[in-house]
Amino acid sequence: MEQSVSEAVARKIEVREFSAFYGKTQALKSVNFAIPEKRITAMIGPSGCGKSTFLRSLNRMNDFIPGFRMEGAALLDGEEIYGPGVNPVLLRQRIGMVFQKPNPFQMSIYENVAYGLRIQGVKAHSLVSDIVEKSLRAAALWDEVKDRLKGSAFSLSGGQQQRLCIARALAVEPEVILLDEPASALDPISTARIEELMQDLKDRYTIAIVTHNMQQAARVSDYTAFFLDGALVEVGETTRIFTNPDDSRTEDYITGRFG
Amino acid sequence: MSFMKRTAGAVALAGLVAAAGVGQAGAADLSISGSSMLFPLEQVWSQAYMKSHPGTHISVASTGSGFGISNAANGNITIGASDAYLTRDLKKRYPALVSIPVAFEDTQVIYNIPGLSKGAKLRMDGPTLARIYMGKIRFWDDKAIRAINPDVTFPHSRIKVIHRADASGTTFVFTDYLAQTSKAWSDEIGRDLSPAWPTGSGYNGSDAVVAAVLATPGSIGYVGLGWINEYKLSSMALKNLDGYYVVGSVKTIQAAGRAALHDPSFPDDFNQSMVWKLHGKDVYPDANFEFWMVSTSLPGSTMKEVKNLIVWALTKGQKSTYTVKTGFAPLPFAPLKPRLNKILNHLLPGNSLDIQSGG
Amino acid sequence: MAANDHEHGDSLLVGGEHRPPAVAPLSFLVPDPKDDTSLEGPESVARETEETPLKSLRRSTHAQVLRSERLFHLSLRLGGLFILLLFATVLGVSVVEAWPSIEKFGWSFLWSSTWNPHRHIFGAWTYLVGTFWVTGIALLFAIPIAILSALFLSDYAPKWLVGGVSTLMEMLAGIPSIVFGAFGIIFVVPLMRDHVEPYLANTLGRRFDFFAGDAMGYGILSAGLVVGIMVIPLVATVTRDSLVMVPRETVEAAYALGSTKAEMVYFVKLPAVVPGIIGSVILGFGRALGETMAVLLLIGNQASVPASIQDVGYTISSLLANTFTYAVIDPLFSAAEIELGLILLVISLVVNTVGRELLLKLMGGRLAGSVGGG
Ligand SMILES: Nc1ncnc2c1ncn2[C@@H]1O[C@H](COP(=O)(O)OP(=O)(O)O)[C@@H](O)[C@H]1O
Ligand SMILES: [Mg+2]
Repeated sequence: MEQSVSEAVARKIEVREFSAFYGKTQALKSVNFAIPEKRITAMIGPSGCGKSTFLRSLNRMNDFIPGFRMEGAALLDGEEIYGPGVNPVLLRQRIGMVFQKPNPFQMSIYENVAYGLRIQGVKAHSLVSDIVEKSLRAAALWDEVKDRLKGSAFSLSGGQQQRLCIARALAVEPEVILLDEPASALDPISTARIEELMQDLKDRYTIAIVTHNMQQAARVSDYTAFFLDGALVEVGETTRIFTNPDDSRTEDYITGRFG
Repeated sequence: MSFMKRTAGAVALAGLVAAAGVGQAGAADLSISGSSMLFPLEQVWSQAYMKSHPGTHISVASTGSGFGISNAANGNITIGASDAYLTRDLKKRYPALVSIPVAFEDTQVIYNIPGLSKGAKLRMDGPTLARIYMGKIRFWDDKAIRAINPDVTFPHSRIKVIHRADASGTTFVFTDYLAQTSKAWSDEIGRDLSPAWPTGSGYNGSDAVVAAVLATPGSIGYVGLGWINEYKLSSMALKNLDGYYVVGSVKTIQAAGRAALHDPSFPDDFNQSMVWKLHGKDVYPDANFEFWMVSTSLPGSTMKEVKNLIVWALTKGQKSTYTVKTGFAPLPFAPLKPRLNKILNHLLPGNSLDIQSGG
Repeated sequence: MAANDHEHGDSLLVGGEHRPPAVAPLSFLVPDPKDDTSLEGPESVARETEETPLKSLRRSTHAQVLRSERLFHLSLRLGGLFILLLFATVLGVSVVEAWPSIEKFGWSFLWSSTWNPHRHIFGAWTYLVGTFWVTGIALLFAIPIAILSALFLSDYAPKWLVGGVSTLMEMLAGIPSIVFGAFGIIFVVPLMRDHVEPYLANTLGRRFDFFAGDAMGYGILSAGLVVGIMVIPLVATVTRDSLVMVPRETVEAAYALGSTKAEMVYFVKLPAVVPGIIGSVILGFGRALGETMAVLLLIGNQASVPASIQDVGYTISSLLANTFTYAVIDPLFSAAEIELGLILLVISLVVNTVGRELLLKLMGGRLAGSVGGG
């Protein structure tokens, strides 16, 4: 059964009968799901239900895990993500990712943001510094770091580091941004800033966020998908999922009766 | 790997030997340490002596002549073994030391010249050898070398000078020959166990010198009789005082020793070189005495043991199964006796030698 | 490191419409008056006074707790003191023993190149230069190879190969240097003499005297290379260990930005392990600087300033090994040799200190980041 999005928006990403395995463990079970363009889609569900697996399948980060195997189809703009001619390196330029723990590189703040440009061979200094500034502004970090761009990225606070990672992801101008519990390691103030930031970004980017925090999902997302035991239980507009879910398991989870 | 044969087991910790000083040891405990060249001979001697003299224990170590001299002087060891006699400088620094000759040795010049006709007998004189070792003669076909060897055709190849890197008696005897025959060498470098070499490359121990010479085309080096015999090397005939070119061997070394012992002007305390100074057709010009150094300040009971050991070494100990086997030429006892008596009397007054003759 | 990981989940702190019943996990902190297992209940106090075997045995006073602390601290201090004393003794004895030479030659000892025991003139220059060349050649040779092999082991080698090669590497680090010296004599020297050095002389050597020479085999090149071989496992092992420790998150971040594997390794992993590499290079430097036996067998032990990498030379440590037992015969000679040893000590101290400063500076950002987190 395909769970669809009621609003008439383009499907940026779509998975069909998508299953994922780590060796013998099945982490995703025939998931059918579409992520709408320029909207924020939240993925919720108890630990180990396959949210990260799902997200990491979209930019093929699971390729690095020995024993990982998938079945079914995953499409970006209608094109097979796992198609034979697809180069994952090029795919990841289009689908950026921000991880649970801030993971800046051992280099300056500036070089962290410029990294993606450098590996793509962008050399022009003015262009690079323009993009660095633009990305840091977009990540709402510019004012805090503009005087210390040469400083080490590790001298930033955890929340700043996470916004730096977002700026770094934005700098390569991806179409989709995947966020895997981006605020779970942060304090409430940093979390609030990142939530604001996502609202600013959704005009230009398709955003998929995994969160453990129901309030966060309710606040920031347009759509919410609920996963349980590797299966997609229910997906729909966030307001509906949180007020009037179809499935009783969704309701149980949201009201905190398990998980 | 046979290069390592002679020095195998010769490694000893200087500190250990020093710690086992005579102070703590019983009267019948003797320690000999110093010259690595004498070490193999001292080993066979101590085995034989301890067998025939139960109750006496001898420990032997190879620590270098310098160590032997200084530690015999300060009483850390009973006997210091040295390839070199006490020069005036050392005599002044260590006035209590007495030198006792215990064997003959020599230094011979070896070479590796590619393209040399088989069986060619090379000759060398002191001044030319000195100029080679000063880096002034750089090719084997230099006219100075050709002049001494008119029958030999030399290749035009670079001479690679090889010398010892560690302080060694062999080097002392070798540089002694150069210093006696070349004023330039005497003025600029002199004789020393570890001189400031003007050129070449240095190797630790005679085995390494042999190895380097064998491995380096165009090289020249020097080692003692023992290594010549062991590795069946051919060496150069060296020019002696009377103008004869003589190859080192047990026979020619003994000829040199006899000439020295029969020379009334040779000092009674042996503290003078016998290199170059001796006349005779068969005299090898670069031979030397090997020495034991003993301090007059040793306690009387120890001194008695030392005297017995010295007398044994100079008589029974000179058998060629001991000496020649380990690379030395035996000392003749009769011509040695008058000077030896004086030395022993000096060490242990009223106790000179009353032994017939050596074996 | 863990400063970013807050112990409380966000959900407990941020209010919302759907407040989850989050009190449950915290209930043990808030005593429930109805709960008679609570520690503050009168019964529990009564139980506290009840004697059990453990209670009669366990520590009950502040002094008892302190005693174990004090004992431990005392032994730590003794250990530290011993190291200090040892160092002071080595330094003190060396300075005293070297004094005749220090007094006679002053600073000029450092740049005088005459070393003539016969004439009682001693200068360190030739030995300093020789030491510099051997150490330099060793590190130049070892560092790139070590880093490449560390990268291979950490990121490229198939799994079945990694264990074996790593073990081999560690074994290599434990082989006595005399063995490497012997290997140098039977393999490196002939290789240099018959192939490498003639080739260098005919190519680079035609334009630069520094590569010319007459192919002896023995010399600073062979000594440097063999010492380099001895340094490789040291640098490679430490570098591999720090490469393996680069967080998976960092690696994933690089891939997620569209890096190829080579870009990830070169631009992200390598910069992250620079402190580790510097640390290992300092270790390697110490090893190369002090290496004695292998150098002594290969360098040609000639007190001359090398003008070419094919030339022979002399290092401080090999000079001491070769001549120290002889030098003791003459107080000034032995003083000069001890002064050389002192110089070696100072060099390695300086390099260690500078290296440590560099490390601290490099790690500074990272440490500050972990302190300032949140
Ligand atoms: N690298 C891995 N190797 C093996 N099993 C894994 C791996 N990563 C995740 N899993 C398993 O897959 C399932 C889904 O995990 P995950 O996608 O991380 O869940 P979530 O992000 O929802 O907590 C879990 O059972 C987990 O144990
Ligand atoms: Mg997860």
